[in-house]
Amino acid sequence: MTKSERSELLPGTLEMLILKTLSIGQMHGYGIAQHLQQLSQDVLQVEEGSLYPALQRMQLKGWVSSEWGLTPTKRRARYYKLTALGKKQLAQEVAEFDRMLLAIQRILGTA
Amino acid sequence: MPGPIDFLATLVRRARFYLHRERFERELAEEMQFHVEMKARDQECAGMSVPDAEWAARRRFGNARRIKDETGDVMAVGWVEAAIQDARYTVRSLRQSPAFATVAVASLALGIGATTAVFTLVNAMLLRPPPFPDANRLVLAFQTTTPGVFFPVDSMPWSYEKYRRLEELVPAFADAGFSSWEEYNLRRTGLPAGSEPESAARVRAELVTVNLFSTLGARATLGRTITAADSSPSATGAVAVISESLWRRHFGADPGVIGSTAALDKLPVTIIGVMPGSFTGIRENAEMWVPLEAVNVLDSPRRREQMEGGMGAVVARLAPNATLAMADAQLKAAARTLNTIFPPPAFGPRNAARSGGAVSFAEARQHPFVRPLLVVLSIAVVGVLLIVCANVAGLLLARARAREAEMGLRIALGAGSGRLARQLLTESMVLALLGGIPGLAIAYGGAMALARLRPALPPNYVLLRSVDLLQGASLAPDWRVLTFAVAITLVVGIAFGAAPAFAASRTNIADLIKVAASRGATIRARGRRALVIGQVALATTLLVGAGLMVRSFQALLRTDIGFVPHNVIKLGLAGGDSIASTAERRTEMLARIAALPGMESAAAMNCAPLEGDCAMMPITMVDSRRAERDEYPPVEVHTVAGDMLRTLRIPLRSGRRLTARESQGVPTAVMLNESAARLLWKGESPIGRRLSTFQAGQPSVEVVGVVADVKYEAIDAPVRPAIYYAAGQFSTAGGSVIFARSRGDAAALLPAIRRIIAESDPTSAIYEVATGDEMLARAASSTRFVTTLLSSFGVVAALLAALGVYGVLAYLVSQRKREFGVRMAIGALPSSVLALVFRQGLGLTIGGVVLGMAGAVAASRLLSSFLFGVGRSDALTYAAVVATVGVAGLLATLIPARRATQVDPVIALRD
Repeated sequence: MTKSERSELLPGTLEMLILKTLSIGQMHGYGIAQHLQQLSQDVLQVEEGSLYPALQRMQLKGWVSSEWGLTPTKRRARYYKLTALGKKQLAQEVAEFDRMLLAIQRILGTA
Repeated sequence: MPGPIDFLATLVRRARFYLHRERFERELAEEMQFHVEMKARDQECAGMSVPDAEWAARRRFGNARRIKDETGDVMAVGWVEAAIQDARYTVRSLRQSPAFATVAVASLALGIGATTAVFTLVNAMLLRPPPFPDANRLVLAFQTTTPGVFFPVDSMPWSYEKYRRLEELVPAFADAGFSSWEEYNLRRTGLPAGSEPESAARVRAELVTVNLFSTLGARATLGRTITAADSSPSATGAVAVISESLWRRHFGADPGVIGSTAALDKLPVTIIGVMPGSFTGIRENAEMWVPLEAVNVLDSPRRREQMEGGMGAVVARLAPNATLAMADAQLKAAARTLNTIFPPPAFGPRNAARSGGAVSFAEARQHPFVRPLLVVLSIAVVGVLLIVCANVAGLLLARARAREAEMGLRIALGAGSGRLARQLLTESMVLALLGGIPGLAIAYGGAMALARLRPALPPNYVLLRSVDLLQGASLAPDWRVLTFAVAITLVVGIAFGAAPAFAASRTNIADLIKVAASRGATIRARGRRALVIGQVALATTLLVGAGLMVRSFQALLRTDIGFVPHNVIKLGLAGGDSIASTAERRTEMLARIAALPGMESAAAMNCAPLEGDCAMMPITMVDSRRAERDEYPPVEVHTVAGDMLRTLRIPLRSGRRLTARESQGVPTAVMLNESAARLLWKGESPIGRRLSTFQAGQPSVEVVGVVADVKYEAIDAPVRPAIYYAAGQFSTAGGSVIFARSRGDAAALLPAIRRIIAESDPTSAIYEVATGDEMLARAASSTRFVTTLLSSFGVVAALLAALGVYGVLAYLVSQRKREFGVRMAIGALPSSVLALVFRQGLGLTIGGVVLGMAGAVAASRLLSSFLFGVGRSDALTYAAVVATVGVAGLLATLIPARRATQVDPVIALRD
């Protein structure tokens, strides 16, 4: 796959996508990356370089919490899960994003 | 918007992160390791070889260090940690280039030190309020003949009688105190029988109304101050409060001094209190305070008469809702009333009707010389500081060039450009701090050294006589000085760090990888050239200022002061009734002094040259014609005993000198100085003519001789017309100053002179002993002070600017090494390369000099009040400065230019 076929994430959407991913259940960092990549059918390529700082940021804001656990293959990994605050944030960001998307579509004349 | 609770919670989480940051980093590393492994396993499953998979995974992951950095940045404490890290890194890298570090830190220490030293003076003389509670409510009432204007020098002192009227005339004063001025011989009395007889001490005393201390709100450190109960003398005389300095000097800092008795001349006093060191009275240098009311009861009518003549200052505290403007207006009105009650004298300098006014006491205590002096010093020192900043900025820029490779590498490794700029700024801060700490020590030492130069101020009304500029001022750093030092350090750190940091933040990795970053380098070189031109300009301006002062100082020393101070010793002699009253004993004493081995002659006079303390009288009659009021300015009156002309080497221009032939009692003969002769007889010979300086009806005196003009005021003040009487013919001789001329070192004969005086009159006090050379030095001290400071600033500035020129050219040569090599390889002569570098150097120097000249023309305006005998646009000074800066610039060019011609083409091309 060449680079041009991948899309850069819109700024600020990464956090929303992580929140959405975590709303399924707790997950480790690699899992989140895989999940995002698979669901987007490899269109969205999450840079690990921005994933972990984003996770730390979200943890500081209190949207996610983390704890160490074991993977099915008995490897130690840090699992992240959504907090109540995170759920609220997700709802808010999705609403926001919908509004923005609608606006863009209107301008492009696709809505 | 996040609420306060959220904010607090975030804060707590951040704090927790910070406290466990090691665990946090470990966990992050583990997490990333896990990520890489998982990735590798997936790739492997997809058919990659194991090492390939791992490699791909790592590559996909990107720069681990950067992720760590960024996740670290996410933490609030990231920047604290980063700053500490940067500082540590800076110290390490400074240690690796000790030459750079030494030059940078030393010049910063110098710059910050000099600036803080000057601020210490500003603080001690301008900013510190007078040591009284609510000092801003204290005002000085003044009288003047120029309405509405307060010039300390010619403001009219108050008489006690006028002061008494102010209470009803000025309701804006809650309380007003009056202070008059006397000098006394102080002797302790009531000492146990058999103890060593003490010599008298000359003290400057203020005779104060009993409410003065309460008006000021001043408190004693030992005992008490003067209160209303002290207005009438007790059986033991009047009460007296002494200064800390007198307490140490004359009372051995004895805590039991309270209650001991003393005599001021013949006035008995009991000491009731010791004031703190910061309290020096209304006139800054008083040592003793006695209640005026009690002295008036005790003392001779003569003294009281003097009191009413007016030597007083009035200091008042404003009433609670009064303002300075109100007090000022009321005093103006009061002056009109007072003019009708006390009509101005018919003659003399005070004959005009008075106007009145009020100024803040703090402002009034300031000598008019102080503010312009400090303005000049501040500007000069800021110039030096700017040069220092420019120099260090230049050094940093050069270093940045040397470190481009390092910066490029760090950017390639993922350091953000903001992060790099921040690091460079941290570096400059660390440098500034390293310079600031020794700078504080330099500041303290520098301020002390300045104080040791002992600049003396010319006398004025508030200070009455010439005083040391820094007398009584504490130069120990207080919170203001410390705050200033810290602030200046930070400002300096940002000032010189900003340029390299900005340059670094614009560093483009692509440029770096491309051909030798030529674009960035050009920008940087242009910046450095501008910095250096600025430096040369500032140095030129400072040198012109210094040059003008040096010329003034030379002119001052070259000025004909009318006497030869070398090998002369001067002793103030006070009190002793026998000296003042009997001419025989004085003549005998002077003869004995003159007869000392190694002594040439001795004389006595009522005041000393260069000290501006002489009596003035109006001319009332010239020949047989009554002089019109104000027809002539008042003349200095001198009473001389012994051979004054020979002792001070004052040339006799015509006629004869006053001799013992002048009989006692009634004045019959006088000598004039040339100014007086010119004033009164306009070119005709005054010998044999007659004049009178007394009230009408007094007999006139014959002019028997004309002597050269002697400067009794400051050296740079015009000579006043003067008349010399024979002391023996003068009924009241007043204070005496003894002069003795020796063949060798006059100071060596001092003990013998003291012995003779003590034998002639044990009750007299000797004070203000100085050699003629010291008198001259003191008179020139304020000019010398400014000259010394500006010269040292100028020299430092010139050296730093030369260093700057050298730095830019050395940089230029190193940058164009290859080009020079090629030029010479294809046949350019070394001389053409030399010329190329010299052209660059010359460009910097000439640019700087031209700018600096323009600056000097503007800045010398500020200096004009300090200049003497030299114009602001003195061609010689400007020429000398151009030559000096030119030579310095040339020298700074020489080394890099030589280096350019020595470039080996082969090596240059291989590099």
